[in-house]
Amino acid sequence: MEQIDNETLLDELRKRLEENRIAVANLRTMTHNLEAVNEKLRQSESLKTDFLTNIRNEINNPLTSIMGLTKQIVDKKTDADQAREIAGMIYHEAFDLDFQLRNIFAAAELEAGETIPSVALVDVAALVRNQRAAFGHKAAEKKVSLDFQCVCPDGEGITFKTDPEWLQKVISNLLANAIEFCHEGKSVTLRVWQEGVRLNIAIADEGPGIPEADRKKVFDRFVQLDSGVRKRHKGHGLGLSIVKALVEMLNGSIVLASNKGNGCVFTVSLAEMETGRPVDVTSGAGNEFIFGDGTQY
Amino acid sequence: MIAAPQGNSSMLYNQDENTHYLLAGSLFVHEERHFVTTVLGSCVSVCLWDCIRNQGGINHYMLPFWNGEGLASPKYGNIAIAKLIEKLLKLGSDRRNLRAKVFGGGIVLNVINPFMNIGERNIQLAEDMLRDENIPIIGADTGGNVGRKLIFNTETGSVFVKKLTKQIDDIKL
Repeated sequence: MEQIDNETLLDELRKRLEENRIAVANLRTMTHNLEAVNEKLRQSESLKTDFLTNIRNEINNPLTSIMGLTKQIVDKKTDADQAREIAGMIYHEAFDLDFQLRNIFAAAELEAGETIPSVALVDVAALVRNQRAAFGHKAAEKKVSLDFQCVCPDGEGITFKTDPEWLQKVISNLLANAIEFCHEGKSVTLRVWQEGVRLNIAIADEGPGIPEADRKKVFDRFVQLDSGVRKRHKGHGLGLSIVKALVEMLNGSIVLASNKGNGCVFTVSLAEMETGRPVDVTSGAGNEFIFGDGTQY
Repeated sequence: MIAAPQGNSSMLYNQDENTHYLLAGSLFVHEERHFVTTVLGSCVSVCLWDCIRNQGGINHYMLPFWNGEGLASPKYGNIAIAKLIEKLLKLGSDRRNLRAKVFGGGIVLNVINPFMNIGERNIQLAEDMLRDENIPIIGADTGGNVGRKLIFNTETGSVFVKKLTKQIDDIKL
C-alpha cells in the first residue's frame, strides 16, 4: 500500500467533513421545507372539509328562498307590481346560486386537468360591459358605482384572441369580489387597455384591502380571510384560486396591489392564444420539423 | 397522408385521425384512438397504455409535488400521475395491464443547484410513483439540454419523439 503522509490524510479528512457538513445543512433545509408544505397541505384538507360541510347550506338556502318566493306568487293574490318585485328577489337568489355553482364546477374541471381552451377573437370591451350589466343589481344593492374605462387605440374597442368563457370567469369573479368587499356608496373601477401585444385588465375596489401577509394566501382554494360560522361574506373561497388557474392557462399573470384600509387592485395581464391547435408534425414552430428526424418509442 | 419515417418504424397519421394538443398542466385519456401532441421542456409527460384494451392516456406536468397553494391541479406530477391512472381504471383498464413511457425533464436554465433541478425532480417523481404503482416503464427519453415534441398514439402506445434543439426558453412549456 502506498504511504500517504499525514498532511494529505488530514486534508482529505477535512474535505470530507466539510462535504458532510454541507450535506447535513442541505438536509436540514429540505426537512424544514417539507414540514412547511406538510402543514400547508393539512390546512388545505381541513379547509376542504369545511367547504364540503358548508356547501349543503349554500345550495339549500337559496333554493329554499326561491321556492318560498315563487310559492308566494302562485298562492297569494299578488298584483303585477308585487309579483315583479318578488321575481326580482328570485332573480337575485338564482343569480348567486348560479355563480357559486359555476365556480364549483370550474374548480372541479381545473383540478381534473381536462379544461380545453376554445380560442376565438373576443370583443373584450363588450365582454366587460356585459359583466358590468350582469352585476349591476348587486352593485346597486350597496350603492356601489361600477365605472368602466376602456382605453381603445382607435376608439373602436379591443379584440383579442383568447378563450371567451375563461376570460368571462376571470372578470366575473374579480368583479363579484370587488363589489362584495367594496364599502357602501363607494366605487369599483374596471379598466381595460392594451400594452403592446398584451391585454391588461385592472379591477379596483374601495374596500378594506388585504394586508401584505395575506396577499399570497387569498389565491389558495377555500380561503376566505374572514371565515367561520359568523363570516360576513358569501361564497366558498374558490373565486381567486380559479382566477389564478385560469389566468395561467390564458398565458397570463395576475398581480394584487393592496394596502390595508385602501382597497385592492387586481391586474391581469394576458398574452394572445393561438387559434386552432398545432396538431401535426409540421405545425407550430415548423422549421425544425424535418421528416425523418425523430425516434419512435 | 403525413408520414414521419425515422430510425425504427414509421408512424402514419392521416388527416382524418382524431388529434389532440395537450397543454401544460392538463391530461388526456380516451378509449378511442387519438394522436396527442405535446411539447416538453423541463416538464415531464407520462404516457400510460393498456396493452390489452389498446387504450391510453398522457399527462404533462410542470412540478413534482402540489405544495398546497392554489388549486390541486395536474400541473403537479403527484396529482397528474394519480389522475391518469384513475381515469384509465375508470375506462375499464386493469392495473396489471398498464405500461408507462416517460419523456421530458430537460434542463431549462443553466442553474447550478445543490438539489436536483426541476427536470430531474420531475423525472424522479415519475420513476418513484410508477414503481410504487407497479407499472413498468417500457420506454423513456428524458433529461439532457433539449426540449421534446411528442406524438402519442393512445391505441398502440407508441410515441414519436422529436428533440428540439432550438433554445428551450423559446418553447412554450
